[in-house]
Amino acid sequence: MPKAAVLAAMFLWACILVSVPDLRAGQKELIEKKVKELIELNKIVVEKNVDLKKYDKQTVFIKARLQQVSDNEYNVKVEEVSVDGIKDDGRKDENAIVIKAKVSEKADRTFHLDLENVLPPEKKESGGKEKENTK
Amino acid sequence: MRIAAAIFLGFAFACGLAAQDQQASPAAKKLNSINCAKVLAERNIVETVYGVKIRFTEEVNNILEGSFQGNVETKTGKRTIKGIEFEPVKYDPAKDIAQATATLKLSNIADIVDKDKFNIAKFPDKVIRRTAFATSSPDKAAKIAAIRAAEIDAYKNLYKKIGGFTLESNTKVENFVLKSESVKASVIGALMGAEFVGFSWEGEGDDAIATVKLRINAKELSEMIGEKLIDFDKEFIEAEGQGAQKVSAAPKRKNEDGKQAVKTDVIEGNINITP
Repeated sequence: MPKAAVLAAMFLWACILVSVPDLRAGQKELIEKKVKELIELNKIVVEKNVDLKKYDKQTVFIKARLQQVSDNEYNVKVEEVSVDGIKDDGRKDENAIVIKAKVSEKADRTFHLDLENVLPPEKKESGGKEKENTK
Repeated sequence: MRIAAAIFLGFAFACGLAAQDQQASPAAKKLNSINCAKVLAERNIVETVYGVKIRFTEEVNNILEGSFQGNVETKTGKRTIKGIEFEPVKYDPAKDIAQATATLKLSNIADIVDKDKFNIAKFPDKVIRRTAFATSSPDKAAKIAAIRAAEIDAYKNLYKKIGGFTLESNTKVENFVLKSESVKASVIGALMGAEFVGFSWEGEGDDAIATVKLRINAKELSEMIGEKLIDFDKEFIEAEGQGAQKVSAAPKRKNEDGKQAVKTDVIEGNINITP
C-alpha cells in the first residue's frame, strides 16, 4: 500500500475519533432509552392510526398530538397523515382518533432531598468486590 | 439534555471554578458554595411562582442507527420578587456541597402579582419551598449539574402531561411493515407552580443517572388561575426527569509531588529589596 494511502487512512481515523462525541455510560443509557421511547411512540401512532395497506411501499408523513396521561400512558390524536409532507397551516382535525397507549413500565424509587444523598454512590472496585465474595 | 447539562455545568463552574483555580481557602469555598446554593434556591422560587418557559425537541434522524438529537431550553424572565427567606443552610465540608432551602409566603408578593390573573388571596398561608445544592469543587459540579438537568427534563415531562406535545414522523411502509426513518417530538410552552419532590441516583460514580421528581398541585393551581388545567382527577400531577453527568475536561497535569500544577505569570524566586 502506498505510504500516502496509509497516511490518509490514519488521518481519516484520527478525524473520526475526534468527531465521535465522548459520552458517559449514563448519557448513552439515557439516549438509548429516549430513542427506544420515540420509536415505540411512533410505532403506536402509525400502526394504530394509519392504514398500512394503503400506504404500502410509500413514505408517509404523520403529525400527531400526544398527551402523557401517566408515566406509561399517552392520549394520541393524529392531526395529519400525508405522502407529500406535513403542512403547517395550524388547522385541527375534529374527527381525529384518540387512543390510549402503554409505553413503558417504571420502577418505584425512593426520592431524597438532603445533603447525604446528593452525590451518587461511589463506584466499587471490581477487584475488591471479588475479594469480598471469596471470603 | 446534553445542552442543558452543559449550561448548568457551566453555571456551576462559574460559581466555583474561580475560587478553585486560585486555591481558595476552605472558608472561601464554603462561602462560595453557600452563596451559590442560595441564589439557585431563589431562582427555583421564581420558577415556581412565575413559571418557566420550555422549548424542547427530541429527534431520531435515522431510526435504524438510532441517531438522536435532543434539546431542552428553559428560560425564566426578569421578574420582581421579594420576601424570600432561607431555612438554616447546611454545608458538608468533606464534599464541599451546600444545601439551601428558600421559602416564600405567597401573601408577601400580593402587591406585585397581577390579581386578575392569580387569585393568591385564596391561599394566604401558602408557602413555597424550594431547595438547591451547589459546590465550588469541579469534580462534584458535574453531579450537581446532572440533578439540574434531570430537573429540566422533569419540567418538560410535566408539561407533556399538562399541555401535551407534538410528534412528527417520516415513515416508510414496506410489505405492511414499518421502516421508520425519522421521528421528532417537540413542545413550546410555559409551566408554573412546579414543586420539587426529590431526587435519586441510579448507578454509581461518574456513570450514575440522576432522577428528579416534580409535581404540580393541580387543584390549587386551578383555583389560583381560575381555570381547569386538564381533565385530571387527582390532586397532584407528577413527573420524573433524568440527567446524566457531562464528561469533565481532562484533569490538569500533576507535578512530581502529586499536587495540581498551577500556571501563573509569576516568576518565583528571591527578591532582594534591602540596600
